[in-house]
Amino acid sequence: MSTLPHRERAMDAAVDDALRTYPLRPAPASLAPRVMARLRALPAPPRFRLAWIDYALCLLATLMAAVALTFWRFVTPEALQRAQERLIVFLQHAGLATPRPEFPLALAAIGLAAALLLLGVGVWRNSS
Amino acid sequence: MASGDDEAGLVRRAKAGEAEAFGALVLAHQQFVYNLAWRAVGNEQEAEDLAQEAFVRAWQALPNFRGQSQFRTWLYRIVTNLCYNRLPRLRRDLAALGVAEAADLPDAPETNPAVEAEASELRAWLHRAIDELPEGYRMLVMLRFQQGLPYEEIAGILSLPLGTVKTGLFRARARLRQALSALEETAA
Repeated sequence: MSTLPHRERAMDAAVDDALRTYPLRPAPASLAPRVMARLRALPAPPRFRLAWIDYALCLLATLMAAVALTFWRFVTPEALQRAQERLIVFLQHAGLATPRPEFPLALAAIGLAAALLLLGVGVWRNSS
Repeated sequence: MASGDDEAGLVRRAKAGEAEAFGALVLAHQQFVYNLAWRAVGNEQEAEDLAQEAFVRAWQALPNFRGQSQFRTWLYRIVTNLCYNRLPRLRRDLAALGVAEAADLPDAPETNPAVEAEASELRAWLHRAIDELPEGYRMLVMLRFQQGLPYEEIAGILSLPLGTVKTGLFRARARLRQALSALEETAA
């Protein structure tokens, strides 16, 4: 129970009441028409707009793809075999067993595909 | 004002470039946007210009609105930033409030019919006292009591720490209480 005297409580109630009932003025009738007139006067926005982060991610994905393609041209079957073996050794060292030798490369490919898919979804959502 | 689902649909359509959908958002928010600007700048014409500019900027920035906050929070933040640009002192004054008295105010209490009936003159007097509060306090009062926003959302809109918002509202209320006390002593 409150120990405030009656006068104090009445004052608090009056202040609370005034705060809650502080009136809003009506917006001027000309505001919305002026806004819409300004919008109509603006040049038409481009149909496909991206934020800077989308451009950055696209650039990164393109660079990754370019590096992968360039690298792939110089990969011999022996080098690929060595890379697989090293990856398997690394995974075993990290305590991750690999049931098949293709597994690590498949995992990397799935990861890359998922990253590119996420990027695509992000760009599509932003532009729609 | 448009309900949450309606508003989300309007925002989606406006983002796709439908000016009519944005027009509906303008109609839904124009009163509060105008009042927020008016309480900040204290001039009707300037408030209308500022509200207009806020809506135009919202339209232009809409493609970057990702829905991480509510549309109103995002829109009011645009209004607030325009007010800060117009009155650099306003941001400084609000930031200077600090967090000395960061007490939570009680949520809107139950309406007491007796107080309601007796208090119309007193209420009008207190409304004038709110008008005379500094701009920053008036904006806080508007956001908290007219729009019923939680402290966290107000802090996001005004780009202030949560404690500063609580302190500001606490002090606004204390000032009104003080003014009322002085009035009663004068009348006695």
